[in-house]
Amino acid sequence: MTSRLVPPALRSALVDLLNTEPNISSPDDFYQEVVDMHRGLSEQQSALVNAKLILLLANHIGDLSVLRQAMRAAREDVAPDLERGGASAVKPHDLE
Amino acid sequence: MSEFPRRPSVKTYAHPTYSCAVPTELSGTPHHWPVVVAGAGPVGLCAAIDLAQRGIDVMVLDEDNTVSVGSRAICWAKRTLEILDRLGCGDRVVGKGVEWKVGRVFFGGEQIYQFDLLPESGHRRPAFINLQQYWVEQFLVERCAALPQAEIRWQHKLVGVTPHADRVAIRVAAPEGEYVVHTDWLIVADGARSPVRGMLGLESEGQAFRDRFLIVDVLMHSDFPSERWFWFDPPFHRNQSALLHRQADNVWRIDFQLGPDADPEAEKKAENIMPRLRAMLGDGAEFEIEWASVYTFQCRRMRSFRHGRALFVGDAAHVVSPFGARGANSGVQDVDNLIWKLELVMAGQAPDSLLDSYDCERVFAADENIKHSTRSTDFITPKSAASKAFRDAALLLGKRHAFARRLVNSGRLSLPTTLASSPLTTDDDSAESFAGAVPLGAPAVDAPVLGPRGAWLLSYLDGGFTLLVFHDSTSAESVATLAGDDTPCSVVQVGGGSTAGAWRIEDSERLLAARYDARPGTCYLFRPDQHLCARWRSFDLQLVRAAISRATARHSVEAREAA
Repeated sequence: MTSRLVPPALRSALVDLLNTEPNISSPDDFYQEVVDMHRGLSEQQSALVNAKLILLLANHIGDLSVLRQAMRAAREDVAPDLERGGASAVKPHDLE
Repeated sequence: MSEFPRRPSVKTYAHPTYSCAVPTELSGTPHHWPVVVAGAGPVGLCAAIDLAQRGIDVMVLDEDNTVSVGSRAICWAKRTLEILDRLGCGDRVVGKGVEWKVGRVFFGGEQIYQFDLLPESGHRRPAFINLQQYWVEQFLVERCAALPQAEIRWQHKLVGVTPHADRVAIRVAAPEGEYVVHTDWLIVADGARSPVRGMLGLESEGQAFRDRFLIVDVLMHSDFPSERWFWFDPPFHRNQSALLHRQADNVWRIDFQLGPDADPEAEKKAENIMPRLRAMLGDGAEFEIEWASVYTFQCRRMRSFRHGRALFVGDAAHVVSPFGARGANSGVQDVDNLIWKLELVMAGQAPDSLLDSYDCERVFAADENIKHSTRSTDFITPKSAASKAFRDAALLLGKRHAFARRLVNSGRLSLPTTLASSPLTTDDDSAESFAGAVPLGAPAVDAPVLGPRGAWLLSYLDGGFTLLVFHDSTSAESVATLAGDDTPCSVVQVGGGSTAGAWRIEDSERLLAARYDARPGTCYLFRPDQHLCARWRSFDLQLVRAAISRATARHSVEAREAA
């Protein structure tokens, strides 16, 4: 997306867009390795390792607007769990 | 909340017993008070001192007869210390307090990292000092006593309030009987539960957090350094957090997170506290408990801090969680923002609408403080499995990677609010740009100087409007014009020749020019609360007067009258 074919003026307008075009050089290797990363871990440990990975990648990206687009894209097609209180489960704090 | 008499005692502090004369209102004609302050806590006392220093008579009502029983607010931030300097109490508070700069963060049994709050020199006051609230209140009470305009009425409880368009009627219950006073302005500083707020039928809205915390003051002869230590999930208190802070007189503040289901009465008992302390401090430590309390906390504020002639300050107006020391510090900043405006309105030098800017500026600040302290609370007490996973991830990564340390949040440093979008602020000329350490709307940043009023810049910004001019570019005539205006403005010249009527200071360590990105001719206009409200690259008398007019809300009135 930010290849050299894009004129510089346009390139700067594009860098803050989340790249959802194929971009991983070896997708099958990556997929296997990210699953393997969790081998031997409990669910809780996996959640911790995933969170660490997200923070590492987020820091690498850095740009908050790109991160926000990624978070929005991640939430797409995942509806709030009605069993857990549905929309009210989104409420950030417990109210007394 | 309190019943009489109570004579609290801790080993390191003897609570004074204050009294006052039988009020004249009970024996003769009622006295009219220009200002009444409800509540003699740190915020109410600061309000009284600021008013009295400006020559305004003020009566403070407090139902108690001594200072704060517990140590309560203990971290006094740099900006608060600078305000206390202006109020004549800075040296005593700093002299008694414990200076600290280094914080350490632990996760499990391991130190994750440490930080230094104020790595920069060339400031009169440190980033923070720790001092028990009762000491600060005592110093403020003694400062009030030195000001003939301030009168504190101890054991006088405000029991009724009736607002009118032109005054507020107040009913007071004194030990000798009830009386009524009338006041032009009522400053409400009666704390988080604010009885006056209730009497006026007003509310403070927000959220309460369910986690309970145990707070203990421990007297200890120990080698712990003067640092802030914060533990996430420590071995001595699993799955919770703990905080250790040094106060004056070898008293240490220790906070234990207890979770939502703890029994506050049981947790407060010494036999339950001692094993926790023993596990934390080790078997060899010798200590005694001075004071303990169990609390929950809230983040809430009133929708508006101004209701006609009733002006709400401090916890009465807004409360935050304790992480980041934004309670008392923001309350003192409320007062700093309010009192100069009240003085100008009372003197007829500014329209009543100037007081609306107190509401809008300090609501903005309260929202900023609530946002920061809510985020700290969420980090310290994660409310979901995902939230806990990210919290632990940030802590684990923080051990190895600097980026993750910036995500760790055990309370963000309490910094003063920058009032960039305030209606009182004059925008920069679009053709001029300013780097440096002082954004528009921020309070002045201190720097060492040489001059007739002391060795720090802030002592030259002393309660009125002040124009700081780098190198001589004003005339004696301009200085005289600004000094003679309805809202006078004094001029401080940095370097250059001397001009009659202006203070002259030297930028002795060249830090002033650097912090203000100064060139010859650069001018900074500070409000009486030392916030920057306008700046230019060259002096223009009419622009300065227009900016003062805007900063006193006369600008909008004049525009309306002209239309």
